[in-house]
Parts: sequence; C-alpha cells; structure tokens
Amino acid sequence: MNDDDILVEFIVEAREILDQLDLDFVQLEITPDDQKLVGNIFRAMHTLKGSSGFFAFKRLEKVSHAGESLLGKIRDGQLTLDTQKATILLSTLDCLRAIIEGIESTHTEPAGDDSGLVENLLALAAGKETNVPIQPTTPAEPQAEAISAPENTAPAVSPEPPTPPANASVVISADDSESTDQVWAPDPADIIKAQETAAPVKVSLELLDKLMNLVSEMVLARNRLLPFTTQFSDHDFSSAVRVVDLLTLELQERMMKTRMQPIAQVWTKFPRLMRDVSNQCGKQVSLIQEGSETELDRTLLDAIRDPLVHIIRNSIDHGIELPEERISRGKPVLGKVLLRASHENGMVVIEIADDGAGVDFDLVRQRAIEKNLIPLQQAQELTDMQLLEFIFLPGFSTKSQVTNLSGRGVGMDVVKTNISNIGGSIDINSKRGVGTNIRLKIPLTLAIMPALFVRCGSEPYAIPQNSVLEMVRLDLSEATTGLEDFYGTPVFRLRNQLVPILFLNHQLEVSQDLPAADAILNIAILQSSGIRFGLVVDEVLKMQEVVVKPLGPLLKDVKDFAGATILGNGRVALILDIDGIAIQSGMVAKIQSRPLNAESIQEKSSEEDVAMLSFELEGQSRLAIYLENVQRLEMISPKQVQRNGNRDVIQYGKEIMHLLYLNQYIEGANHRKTPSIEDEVIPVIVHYTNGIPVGLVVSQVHDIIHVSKNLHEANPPQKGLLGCVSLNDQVINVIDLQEILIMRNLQENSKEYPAVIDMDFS
Amino acid sequence: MSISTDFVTFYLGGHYFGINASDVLELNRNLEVTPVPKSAKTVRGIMNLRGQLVPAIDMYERLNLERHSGMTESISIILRSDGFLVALLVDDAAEILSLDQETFEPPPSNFSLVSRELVLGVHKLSDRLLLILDPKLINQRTEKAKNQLLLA
Repeated sequence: MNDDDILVEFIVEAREILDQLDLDFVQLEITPDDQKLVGNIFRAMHTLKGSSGFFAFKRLEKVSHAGESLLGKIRDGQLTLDTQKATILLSTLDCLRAIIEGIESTHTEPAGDDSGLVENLLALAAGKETNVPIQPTTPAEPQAEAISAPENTAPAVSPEPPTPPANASVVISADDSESTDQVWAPDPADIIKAQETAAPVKVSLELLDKLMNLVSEMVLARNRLLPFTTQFSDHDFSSAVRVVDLLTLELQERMMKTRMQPIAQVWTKFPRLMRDVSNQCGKQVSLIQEGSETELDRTLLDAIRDPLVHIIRNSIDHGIELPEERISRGKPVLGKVLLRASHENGMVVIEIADDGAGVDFDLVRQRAIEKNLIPLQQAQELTDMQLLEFIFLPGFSTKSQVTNLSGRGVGMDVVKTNISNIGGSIDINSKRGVGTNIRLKIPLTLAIMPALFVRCGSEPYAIPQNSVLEMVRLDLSEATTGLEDFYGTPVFRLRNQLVPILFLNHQLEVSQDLPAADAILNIAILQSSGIRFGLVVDEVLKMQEVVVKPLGPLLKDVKDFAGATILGNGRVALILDIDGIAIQSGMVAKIQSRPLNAESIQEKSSEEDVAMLSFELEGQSRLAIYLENVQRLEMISPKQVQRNGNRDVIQYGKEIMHLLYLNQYIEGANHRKTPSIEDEVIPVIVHYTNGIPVGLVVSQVHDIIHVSKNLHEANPPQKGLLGCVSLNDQVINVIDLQEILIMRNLQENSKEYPAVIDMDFS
Repeated sequence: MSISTDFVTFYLGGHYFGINASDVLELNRNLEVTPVPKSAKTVRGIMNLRGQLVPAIDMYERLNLERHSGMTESISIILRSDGFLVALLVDDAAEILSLDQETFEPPPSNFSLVSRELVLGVHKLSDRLLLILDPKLINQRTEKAKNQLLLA
C-alpha cells in the first residue's frame, strides 16, 4: 500500500467520522447528559486529530485539537454543552470537512486561517472552567462504549476490535494528555458483536459499476448461447448451458443487490441540516424518519439527495410557522417534519410531510398574476390543485425576500426535473393551516427498469413502464366518433374523456403516414408532465426489463430519447423519453392553455364534490352509484350463480352473496334481459348491508367520476333513481340504493312494507 | 533523426485516410447500427460494442464526400475522441503505416470547408496522398454541424 492509498483511506475514514459526528452532535443537544455520546464524540475527534498528525496536516490537527480540548472538558463534566458550544463545535466540523475536501482534491492541505475558530474553542474550553464546579470524572462509562464508536465510523478498516486506526496511534504525541487515560478495554460481548459485523468490505464504486456492466454482458452472451441448445441435441452441451444460464441469473440478481443501499445513507445528513435551518429561521422543528432501511440503487440515492435537501429546507423555511404563531393557532410549539420511505408497486415512495402552514394559495395566485402567468380573471377561478402546479415553474417563488435558505425561485422546478430525470414523479398536496405533503415516487433502480416495447417503422422502441397507464386498440371503422379534432390536436374518446394523441412516426420523423379511415390504432395511454395522452404506435410488442444506457454526448441533443438498451440479440433499441416527446410536440402547452376535460383537473378538488362509480345497464347507459356504497367490484362467471330459493346467490369468499339484478328495479332499464350463460363474465358491484354482501348486477362498469354534491331531483320521481347529475354535458342518473333494497325485500317477501328497515348505508 | 508515427489507414469514397494509431482502439466488421431518428445527419446511429453504446459516424456526411457506390460501409474504426468512444464507418481498412514527419504537409488550400478543419495534413507517400484526420474534431464538430443545420 503506497502513500496515496493510505491517504485515500484516511479521507474516506475522515468523512465517515465527520458524518457520524454531525449526527452525534445533534443528538447530544437533545440529550446533553449522555456521557456515552460525549465519549464517542471525543474519541472520534481524537482519532481525526491523530491521523492528521500522521500526515502532518497542521491545520486539521490544530482545529481538531482545539475541538477536542473543549470536548474533553465537556466529557469530564467540567463544562456543559449549550447551544453556543454546540454551534461552535458544529462549525468546527464544517471547517474540518472543508479541509478534508481540500485534501481530497489536491492531496495537500489547503491554506487557510483557522486561528479565530481555534481561539474561540480554546477560550470556551478554558474561560468557563472556573465558573463550573468541577465534578468527578466518569471515565468508566465512555470507555464501555469504546467499541461501537469507531466500529460505526470505520467498519471495514479494522476487522479486529477497533482501536484508533493504526496510523493514529503512531502519532499520539506528548502534548496529548487526554489520550493517555484512554484505556481500550473492550467488553467481551462487544467483541463478539464486532466479529460478527466484520464482514463488510469497501469496494470502489467504479469497480462495482464495471462489474455490473460485465454482468449485463454476461446475460446477453448467455442469451446468444441459449438457442444453440435446440440446434444441437447434445445432452451434455445442453446441461452445461443450463448451468451457465442459472449461474448467470443468480449472478445478475446478486449484482443488483450489491448496488442497493439503504436510504438512511442520505438521511443521516438531515438531522444536522434541519438543526441549522431551523436555528436560522428561529423555529423549533423535530425530524421524524420512518423506513430508513428502504433500499435504493446507489446512483438513485445520489440523485435524490439534493431534491430532498431542498424540500426539507422548504418545509422548515416556508412550511413550519414561528413558535408564537404555532401557539396562537393551537398547534404544538415543536413543528414536525416527517420523512417516510417505503416500497410501493416496485417503486420507492418517499414522503416529506410537515404540519406547518401549508402552501399560501392566495400568495401563489397573486404571484402568478404578477408574473403574468395567467390573466386575472382566470386566476380567480383556479383551484388549489391547479395553483400548486405553478410552484413547479422555473423562477416561481412566494417568498418576497430572498434569504440564503430559499426564495430565489430556483427550487421546485429543479427538484421536479431532477426527479423526472431518474424516472420518478413528484406529487404535492397541501392544506391551508394543516401542512404540506410531498410524495416522490422513485424507481427502485436506474440500471434495470421494466419497459414496454413498441414498433414504429422497422425499429423497436422501449417506453418506460412507469409512464404507461394502459393500452388501447381503437378500431376506426367501428368507433362511433373515431379521431376528432380539438383546436388542432387530434383526440379520441376514452371512457367519455377526451384523450389527445400523438403519432410516434410523426414525432420521430420516421414517416408522415396518417392512418387509413378504417385502420386499427394501437394506442399507448401515457402520463407525462401532468397530462394524459395517447401515443399511436405501429405495433405493441412485449414487456421486458431493460438495462438503461446513456446515449452519450453526441446524441444528447435529441430530446426524444432517454437512453438506449441492448436487446437479447445484441441489437440496440432506443428508449423513448415520454416527457421529452410530449413537450417537444407542443401538446403540453396547448393542453395546459385549453384543458380538454375541465372536470378531470379538478378531480380531487373541492369539497363540494362527491365521488361516484358510473356504470351502465341495458337500456340505461348512464347511471352512477355513490362510491361510498361500493365496497368492491367483481367479475363473476354465470356458472358460479346458484339458485337459492327464489334468490340468485354466489359463493363469495366464505360468505353467500345475494345477487340483485339492478335492471329490474330501475325505470327505463331493459327488464327482460338477465345475464345468461352466454355471457362470459358478469360485472358485479359489491355492497355490504348489515355486514352481508349484496351483488348489484350491471352490464358494464365505467369509471369513477367526481360530480357536484347537489343532485337535480328527478321530477316526477322515477323508480330506483335518486336524481341526476350532469357531467360533461351528459346527464347521469344516480340510483337510489336504499329504495332498491327496500323494493327487493318487498318483492321477495310479498308482505307488507317492513315497518323498520334495519339497513346501514354509511 | 525524425520520430515516426503509426497510422491506421482506410479508404472512403476513393480517398485514402489515416488516423493516429494511438487513438484507435479496434476495428470491427459488420456491427449493426441502430438508426437514431432526429439525430444529426453525421450520426448514422448507435451500435453495441460489447455492452457499450457507441455512436456511429457517417464519415461521408462528416467529410462532405459524395457517395458514389451504392455499397454501405462495412468497417467501423473505434476510436477515443475527447474521452468518448466513437465509431467511424468507412469503406475498407488498409494497413498500419509508420511514417516520418518529413513527408507531412499542412492541408492544401483547395479543401472544402468542413473537411479542412478535420484534416490535420497530408503525408506524401510515393504513390499517393494520405490525409490525416484529427480525432478530436470528429466528435466536436458534429454538434456544430448540427447547429448549422438547425440554423439553416
């Protein structure tokens, strides 16, 4: 090992120590009496000092020595840690970090003057000595913890029970009186623990990436090998290939695992960040972390660090109110910022929630008007959800004053770009006075992602699966409306919603062909930049995991592609950048200025709205039922239906579910037709009444719709209908479930109208 | 005594070109090129070089040469240009020549604009001229060429 290697080791170790110290200091402020913690901090600082002496890094040595002196006094109980001391110790850390960074880039210590800091430290260490009664030192306790501190900071450097790294012990010089009382007397239990955790080995990232590449190659080589087993019917050869096949698969899986790292790696920096920011703002905030063990590919970890820092800063600076304000609003003085990571559908979801004031929607509206982003009148009509979109525009800030924390208007747009660059998405939700909740959805790994392959012209292209909502086949000869034109944008109707479409061959300038009037279009419904659109492709091929590779500098100007991947046959296929295509087509701007489906944007909006499930019956095509009455949707086969007395029932899990043919109860519906054996499946809306499932048989279930709470009453009243609502200029009848259930009871019992109908409609 | 340099030589559109051998990683035959729609004309597409994506430069376009024959270039010369790998698509590869500085001359003045920037100079061989290309410019100028295209 030459000097350079030792130096690199030193830098890595020093960084780990500093990271750990960051955490420890913040913790220490919360629990100032924690002697173990003080001991840990002291030792870590000491190790750093020792190592820097070995390399003759004078600045580093002086600063860490001064820090150590102050810490020594705190450890011995001569001084107590207060905010002033904590702040100066943290700035000592920053100073040390800056020096280490300098060393890393130049391999020599950067020049600089730390005398002020050193003096302050020493003054604090010495000056107050007389004021504080000298307490008996408690050396036993910190030493018991001697094992875990260096173990945490440098797990792989020393497999044997940790001593200060070898190079450090060389240098402990005579002036260092504190060090002599350090007796490394490890607890036997800790030794066992240390040996168990001695496994991790440090591997350079470069090597890891290279290995990953090789493994991908190996997989492709295997793919080329596989077809030969069918060509030659040599048994030995086949079994050898099979072994290679299995090994490669396992190798690939293991390799993927090595790249995964817990999100805690990024989060360790946040307690410190939060402390600094909240101190600067004069706010009191606690950071709660949940799911820090969630694993992500390491390249992704790097990519989410800055966005997360930004969001957390925003939460504290914009979100959490000042203590007095919180009290006046009846909130606890201590604001909360919650960081939560979890897995969800093959994605990692990171939530950053605060219980602050929420986004100031009025201010956002005002700024939007001031910046001429939207005409005054239109601005007044915008819902909160729509206002939130402005936050993601470049240069948009609600802070009137630029602070060094935020307000410069370079913020959420960068966050959004960074997140979408790694195939993720961002969702923001905010309630006045209650808080803001930001959800980041990040793919598990960048290296491999599922993609949908489509053909355009003669080439296959991959679409990242996370932007694919569904696939639709549109037969232009059968469709009643087909393609329509909406202010120059071709659109088609999907479940009563207008969906704009793009032709991939036009976008890629492969050809200018338009589909024939009777063509069958393959449309991939995609979600991008907040809008939903359909991409017409020549053929839908398959779903496959792809290894994403960058296109390189020569092709980076082509915004239509996010990268490329190598197929099993060794060919290259391009991966479409859905955002890029949507924006380049000019469609995004068009749709934003002229929303296609006005109500869809307001989907989650005002509280005046109510969610319903729309469905159809023979003869009654537009019906809806309150969503709260719907527990599940099921497709049942007619073969499952059994006759039980005069009722049709099916076995539903462990229960018997009665079927109720809605068309018999609703005026205007076709009474005759009841589902017969010819039907392949019967759609059933499951509703629980008194804990008993009732299956409402319909002929087709459509969609969840959001409509106004105010029903237009049907006049004269119609059987089975509560009233109607309008949506998209269509009248939708809302069924009266209560009446229908009563009618059923009447019909079946053929008795009097039951005096009391004990039903639960909540 | 003069220092000699090794050149990988190749044919393109009837011309004889050379490129400093130290920049060249390898030569390949019949690597499949996947076209990249909407990319610069000079980039024919990308190819898979053992798991690495390498842009394939259409040297006819790059050098403003007229394509006479209908045949497609089958040889790709992989070289490192400005830290990135690129593949030059050429008609045929020839031998590696070790040449002295003595026979070298700056490019003649009657060269067309684009190729003039790319050609470092000419080695006067006994029977013909060998045009020496600058590997660094191959990468950079492609982008500029595209910008010019966009402006036009």
